[in-house]
Amino acid sequence: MNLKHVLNVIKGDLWPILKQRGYINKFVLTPLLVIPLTLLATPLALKMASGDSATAPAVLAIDSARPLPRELARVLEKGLPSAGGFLLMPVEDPVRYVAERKAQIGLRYDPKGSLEVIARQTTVGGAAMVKRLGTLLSYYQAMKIAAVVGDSQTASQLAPQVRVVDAATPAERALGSMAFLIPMVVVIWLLNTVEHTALEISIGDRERGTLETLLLTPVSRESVAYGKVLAAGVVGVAASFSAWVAVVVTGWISRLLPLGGGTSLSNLDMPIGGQILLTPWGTFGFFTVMITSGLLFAAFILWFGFFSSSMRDARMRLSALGLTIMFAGLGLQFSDTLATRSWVYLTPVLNGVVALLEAAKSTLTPTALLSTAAVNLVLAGLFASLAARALLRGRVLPGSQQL
Amino acid sequence: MNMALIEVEKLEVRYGAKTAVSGLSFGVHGGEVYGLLGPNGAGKTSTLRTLAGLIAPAAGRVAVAGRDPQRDRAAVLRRLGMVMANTPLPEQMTGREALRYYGAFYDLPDLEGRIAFLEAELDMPFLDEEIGDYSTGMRQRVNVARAIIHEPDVLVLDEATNGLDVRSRRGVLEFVAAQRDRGAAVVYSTHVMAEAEEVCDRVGIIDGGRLVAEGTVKELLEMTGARNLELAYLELASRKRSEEVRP
Repeated sequence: MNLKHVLNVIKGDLWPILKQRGYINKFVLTPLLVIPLTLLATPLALKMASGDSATAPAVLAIDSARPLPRELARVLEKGLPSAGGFLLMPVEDPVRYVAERKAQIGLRYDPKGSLEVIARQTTVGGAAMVKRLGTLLSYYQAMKIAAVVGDSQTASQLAPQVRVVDAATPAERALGSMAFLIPMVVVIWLLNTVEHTALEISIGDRERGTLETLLLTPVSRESVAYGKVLAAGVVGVAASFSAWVAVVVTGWISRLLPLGGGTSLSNLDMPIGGQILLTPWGTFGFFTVMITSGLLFAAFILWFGFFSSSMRDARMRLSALGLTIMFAGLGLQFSDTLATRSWVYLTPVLNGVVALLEAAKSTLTPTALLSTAAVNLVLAGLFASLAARALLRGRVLPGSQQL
Repeated sequence: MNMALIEVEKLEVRYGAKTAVSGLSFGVHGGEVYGLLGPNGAGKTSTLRTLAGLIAPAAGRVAVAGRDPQRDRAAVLRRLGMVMANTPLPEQMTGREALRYYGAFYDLPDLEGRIAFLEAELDMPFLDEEIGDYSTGMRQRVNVARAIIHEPDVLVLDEATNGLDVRSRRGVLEFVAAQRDRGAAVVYSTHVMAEAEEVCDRVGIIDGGRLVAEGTVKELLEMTGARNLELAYLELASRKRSEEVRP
């Protein structure tokens, strides 16, 4: 195999793609628009449909044994321009009321000064309620301290932390976290782009006849196969990088909206659930997994494509495969609460989804990353070699298919 | 005469149960244009594709400059250039980009210089336009440039004038003659007998995958008593068929 020839094959495959504006728009720029819109609009639509907007009155269950100070009750009932007020409901057990959905949020006041917020925290509405109540409590505390120290700036710095009690049921927690959404979005985008590109430069090249023209040069068939795998992998990784940027930007935007948003610019909660902790290791892991998964997809689809009779035939078979992967990914949605076994990292595709989730949370271990990357690269090499053998056997050229 | 640069011996090409070429033998020397004549489906393209290593023979032997295209594919393709009818080129590339792309696989010391030479030689002022906008004649000129970018001493042209206008067709015929004059071995496959009559030193007539007759144009005309190659071809094909139906 000649590295210079491999690079030339990549150039020959990528150059026409880069010249097609539609291609770049569809696979690289679209995620930047579609993903934030989807991830932001879905919870907003859910909130609007349930009448749970930022300023609409909501029921706040308070412990009847510990009544709120009059001033605090007034602030909570009246609300602020940026955060609506609450209908206060004194109950015996605010946690049970919130868990049973009789109140959107609960509050326990300790006369010694501490506050306990009870919410179905991991649900879309719960996160918004916590944010609204937090705004009103911060306002009340700042007002109280300002009255003592006479300086609103010092007062805001002295405001005590509020403890939040999660009243969500385990089922709500699993459903509400939607933790797999982030790796799912990235993996699906990667798969979709790699599939399209790999088919274009394998069957597409064969159907257009340009593969035969290429094989009239002294390029080795291994260089052709590896070059095409790398070309499809590069486009796929560019698209999934774009999807990743879109997810992070969504997290940043959601911090500006009443949709949760996380604690800092590097610790982001998605409005629909899921979390990204941006650390150098997590980001390195994320991209390592994306690149190696992209190469594996590309090699498999290239090999698969060479054995398909036509583009339509290949697309039909691959859409069935894509759906299988999607269903597996959706099933993994609930595995956030499961213990991850080491064999998962040795299982193609599954390892990518799990490792991306862990990379997003920055909990990916070096062993898991190494296993995932090694399995992906070994299999990518295997499928690329099989694709090259298919070329050597002359199975891919028009007129020789019947041989 | 010097040693044959193209050797085909008892070649057989099969597609599944169908035999496309059967027991075909011929040789072509440097400085010679060998015409491979026959109707569509006669087995011409299958034969030529085995020369470029695109198809493996089911039986027989094929050698280009003494090498087997299946075993020494890269070495064979460094000495062979092939132009087919409407050889596809990447539509989104310009002609120059396509020549750079295909030319880079030959590791030439001065690829840009060679492209500039061919641009002038083959009259291609359109080389910086996208191939998608080219006419058939313009595409074929770029294809010819692609096939000879590495100055091969074996040239294979398969129905290279299909769809070309009179001027472009004339250009291809002159190009073939020029290649012969510089010492290349040329296989010129066509079903247009007048072209073969004009440019070929020897011709092999194939029909149904078999060689019906071989010789210079003059020899074939004498053999059949025909006044031109087209009539000679029809006569030879008809003789072969009557031999086949004879008990």
